[in-house]
Amino acid sequence: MMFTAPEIKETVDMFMRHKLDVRAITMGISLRDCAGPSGTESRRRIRDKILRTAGTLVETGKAIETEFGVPIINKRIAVTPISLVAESSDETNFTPWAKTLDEVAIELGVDFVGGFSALVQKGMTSGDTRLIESIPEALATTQRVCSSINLATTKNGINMDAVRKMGQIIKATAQATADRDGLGCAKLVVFCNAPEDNPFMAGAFHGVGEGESVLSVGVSGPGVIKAACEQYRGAPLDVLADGIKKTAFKITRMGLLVGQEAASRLGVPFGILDLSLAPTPAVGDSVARILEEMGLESAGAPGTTAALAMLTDMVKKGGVMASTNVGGLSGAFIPVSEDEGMVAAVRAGSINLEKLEAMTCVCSVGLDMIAIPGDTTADTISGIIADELAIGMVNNKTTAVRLIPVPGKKAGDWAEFGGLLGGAPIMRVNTFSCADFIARGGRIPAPIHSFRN
Amino acid sequence: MAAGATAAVPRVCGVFNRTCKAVSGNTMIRLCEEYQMNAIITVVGTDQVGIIAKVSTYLATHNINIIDISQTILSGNFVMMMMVDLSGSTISIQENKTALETLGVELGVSISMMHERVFAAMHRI
Repeated sequence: MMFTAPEIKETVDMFMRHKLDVRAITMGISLRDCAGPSGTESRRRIRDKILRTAGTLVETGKAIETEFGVPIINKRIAVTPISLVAESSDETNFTPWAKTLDEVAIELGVDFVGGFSALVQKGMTSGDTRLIESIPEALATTQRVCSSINLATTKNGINMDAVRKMGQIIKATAQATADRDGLGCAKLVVFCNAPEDNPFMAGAFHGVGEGESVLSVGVSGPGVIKAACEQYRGAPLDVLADGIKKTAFKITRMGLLVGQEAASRLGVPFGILDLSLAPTPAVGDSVARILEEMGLESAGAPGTTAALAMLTDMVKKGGVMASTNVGGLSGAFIPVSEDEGMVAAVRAGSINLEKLEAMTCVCSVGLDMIAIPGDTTADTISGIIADELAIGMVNNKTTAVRLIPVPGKKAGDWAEFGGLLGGAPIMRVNTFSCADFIARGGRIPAPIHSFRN
Repeated sequence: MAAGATAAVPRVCGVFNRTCKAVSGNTMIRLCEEYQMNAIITVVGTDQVGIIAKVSTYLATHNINIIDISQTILSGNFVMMMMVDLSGSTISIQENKTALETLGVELGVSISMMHERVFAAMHRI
């Protein structure tokens, strides 16, 4: 046999027992050539182009899943930020663009389409403003469209006018989907240093520096990393770190195989592989439980940030050794509602919003899928966003905020979003006001160490 | 990955050896291309009389050739591994998977089938 029994058993166990999967194959499609003065004509071009480019995406994904025995959970599409495409039209409301994307996604059987987006880290054009104003209605009237707004970069600083605006838009989006616990906000994320090639939702879009179309792959696997950690109980942390790195290497190689195969079958270039420990609400698929396996009683206990820093770094190191195409976010996600262990930690009182903020300094994204009281003011939401973006700006890393102010509910109540998004207890928010700070607007200048020219 | 740990087990044999010789630039990708129709079937569970007989009878019925086979006990579990060539199979991969899963339920063991390239990607660089 060309493989040994332990090797075969290890691989089979990863898939059968520890829920290893390819979370998503995401096809990025440029829509820059679909812009035009007529909105109707532009949307017709968008529809035609997506159908033409991604017509066999779902079918190809399913074929690879069957042939290789590797589950591919989602098939997704990321498009050029719609603010850039819709800007040339004279329409004031961009909701019809979101509806077109939604219809095409449903027609193709694609799970999500990302790119109802704008990049406004330094200023807003008329197209950016119209897109942002359209977000609440667009997300309330579509099912599969995701929206992301880049509000800051290390090079440009933080656009505080846009931060103030997004606090209001998040509130309005929650209100527009009040009957579903503010579900619209689960499809809306704001960024600092947004990657242009991220295959994970809600933040995926096809960056302006990308080619015509590209196929990227997002690999997950918290269960596999936890199982690897179990083999190193009581061992020194550097030994444990090495074990995590080896496992990350193996799952990256598997993702690379699937991604390259999918790209080759679809006839598009292979983009990036994003190795991110992305939890799901299922038991055994949790990042919090990995931290606990390292020796913490509950996620959020002292030591959590250090454990997460090591975990994120080792995942990245294993990944970059396995593939030269590693990109996107790559690391560990720490969403609350999507992680069964994190939900348990909130319930046990071992983790709060402030500790999560500290953890985002070392994880690969940010404050993610956190349900907060419905009466949280727009200013407070903007304040939380500003804090999180400042962490990303100063540390040269991606940070993001995906908060759901659940209408009519208060701290301790339960919010349910369903499916992969899960559900979560509503977390307490510091209610001391930041209104005067947010009302100033303007921008926070780029930090001194951004001047590397 | 850990070449030293597996050195005692003969790993290069049969078709693999021939393919090595057939391929001039022996990169993993090119080796893998030679294996497009090979899959690894794994049976995990309690040892019992007739497991191999039943699985191989099923494979023979559908014209699936067994290239290599081995069995061992790992952490107290009976583990049987078969490398099979699906190129002559009379039914689709999906039908095969479903049928093997059903057979697993009948025998009270877990049977899975995965493409050989997944194992090669993870364990050979």
